[in-house]
Amino acid sequence: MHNNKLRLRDRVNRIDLKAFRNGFQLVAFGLLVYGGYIGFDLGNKLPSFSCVFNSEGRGGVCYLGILQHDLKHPLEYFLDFAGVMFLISLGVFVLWFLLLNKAWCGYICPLGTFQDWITALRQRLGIRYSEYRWNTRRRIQSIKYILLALLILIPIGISNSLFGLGKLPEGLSMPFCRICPGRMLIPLFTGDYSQFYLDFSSTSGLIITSLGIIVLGLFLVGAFVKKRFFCYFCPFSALHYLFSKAAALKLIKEGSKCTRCGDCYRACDMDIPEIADEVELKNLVTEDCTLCLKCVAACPEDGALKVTFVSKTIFESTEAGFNKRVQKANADE
Amino acid sequence: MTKSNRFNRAVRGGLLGFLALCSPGLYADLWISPTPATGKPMETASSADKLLYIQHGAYPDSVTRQHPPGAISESEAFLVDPNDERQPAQVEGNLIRFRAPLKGQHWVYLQERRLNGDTLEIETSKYRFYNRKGDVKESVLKEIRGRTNDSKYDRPPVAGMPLEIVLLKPEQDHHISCCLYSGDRVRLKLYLDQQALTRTTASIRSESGWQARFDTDNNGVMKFEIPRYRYSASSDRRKKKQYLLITAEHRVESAGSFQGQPYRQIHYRANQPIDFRPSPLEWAAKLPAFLLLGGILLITGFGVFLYRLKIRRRRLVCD
Repeated sequence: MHNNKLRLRDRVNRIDLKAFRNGFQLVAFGLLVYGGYIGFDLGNKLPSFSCVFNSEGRGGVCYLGILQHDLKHPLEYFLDFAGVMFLISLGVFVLWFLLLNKAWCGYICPLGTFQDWITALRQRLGIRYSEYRWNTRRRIQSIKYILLALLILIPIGISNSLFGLGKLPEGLSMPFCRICPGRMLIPLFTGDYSQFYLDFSSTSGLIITSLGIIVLGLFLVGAFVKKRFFCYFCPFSALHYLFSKAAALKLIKEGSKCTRCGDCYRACDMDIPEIADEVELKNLVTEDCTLCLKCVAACPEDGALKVTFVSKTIFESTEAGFNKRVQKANADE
Repeated sequence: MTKSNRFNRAVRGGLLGFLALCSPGLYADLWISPTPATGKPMETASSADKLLYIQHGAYPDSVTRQHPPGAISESEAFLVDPNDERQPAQVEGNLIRFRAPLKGQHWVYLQERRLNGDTLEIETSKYRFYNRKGDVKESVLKEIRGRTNDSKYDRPPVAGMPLEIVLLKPEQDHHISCCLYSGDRVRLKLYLDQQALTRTTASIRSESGWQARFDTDNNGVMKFEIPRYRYSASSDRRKKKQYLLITAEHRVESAGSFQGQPYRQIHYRANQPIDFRPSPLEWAAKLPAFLLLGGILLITGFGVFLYRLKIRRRRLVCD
């Protein structure tokens, strides 16, 4: 029994993570984008982009839309029934999130998967990728928190007078959904391109739909030259990080086993410096981490990086696993 | 509304009211509405005890309904809650009273039977309302479950409603499927005793006076397009909700007795009001959106290319 367990763990540690992740992402993408056609439905509080505007095919709905909807209530209603419903929705979202932590981004999010596909296309075309300068990277980290604050404050401001100002125009409702590239891209996979439009019904509508198109353009170009470009700005990532420390899935680094070779940093799509720099034993799920686990797969040191689920190791770096993956990569080339 | 319009409407309402009262042979519409024919609706939003109003007349003009003295008739109402469970409702004059402790979609059904000569008139109406505020204890499970795929359309016909109009998923061109918008192609299916009713005509009338008649196909399905809204300078009107009344009729030769009185045929009539909003897409344009997207892709793509070229040159100079 003990031997079988060891053999299984050894096999998991030698897994071809790239193939596993590609397959997992493909299945998750299929279920979240087309699942509705077969009655698949994970509810409307998912911690990943699964667009409500994909009305036919969606197999679940992103929580950000519900969050904006739940917050757009007059204060007296929010302090009553709507507030309780908001807490229930938030609770369900947190439970979903605690299960997989940021692996929702690295393995399930359709928008993340789409960016990975664009990256694969760029690699095929032999075009090099870009990296942010460290200063730039530090500066843009705050954008996602600003977006999160706006997507919370704007819906509240539509139904209530905030800071003594007048109410915001109705045309700004669901503000993040209006600028989210997923609104246009995800329905596109089901042949629905109706979300590509400029709304001339009001000034606020025109501004926000134009902004949506501009963000989509930047998303497409950005994702082509920079891996996981949008994830740096994603307000979901900011919301996730608030609950990340309590999640069941963790990425642990045992600093004493690290030789600081930097392979993990080079493998990281999000250029997270802590993954290589940290030498203490620590949960390394940072605000930008997508828990793609490429760092674990790229680490040649036994047990230096590991993934735990409720404190139980489920995947860890091993020399044998590293060698096998290198051999596989060489054979593919 | 202009003076002449008000006058015309008052005359029309008065005439129809008079005809509806005096001549039971003339078929007036019967539908369920959240507002009364006159005056303001009673406030029930914060309570689980809800109230809907039975409207009677020639849609959209309604009059206070009064049964002719000595008329043999009976009314029955019930509702189907978000858990698809049937709950009782009471008909009190022109009011339908019921309890709705759950948050979400509710369907209220009304059936009236009355004898008109040798014909049994069975008139049904159905109304959907969304209960925004439910009892917290009752609503928790529903909120956790968070049903995302529509429960509003394709609902199976319910037992106890002889003639029923069921909304099928519309052919929509846009947006979240929670609402109907002008320009949507509505699909309906007619059922008689839970069986598809083929080759029957249904009429559709809007508050604004638009009307049309459509036939069901071999599967009992009919389609129509909600008339597009006229462009309006006022931004208020761009969001204004409007109503349509769908009416289907069917007559069968069937003898029987109703409250001890014989009849030789049954005349079924079903009414269902639906609401829609002007489509945001009527003020939306796709071509400028695609042009803007193309422009952004070109400008940013070219910008990245130039930036990379600049860096490369700088590196070459440094080398």
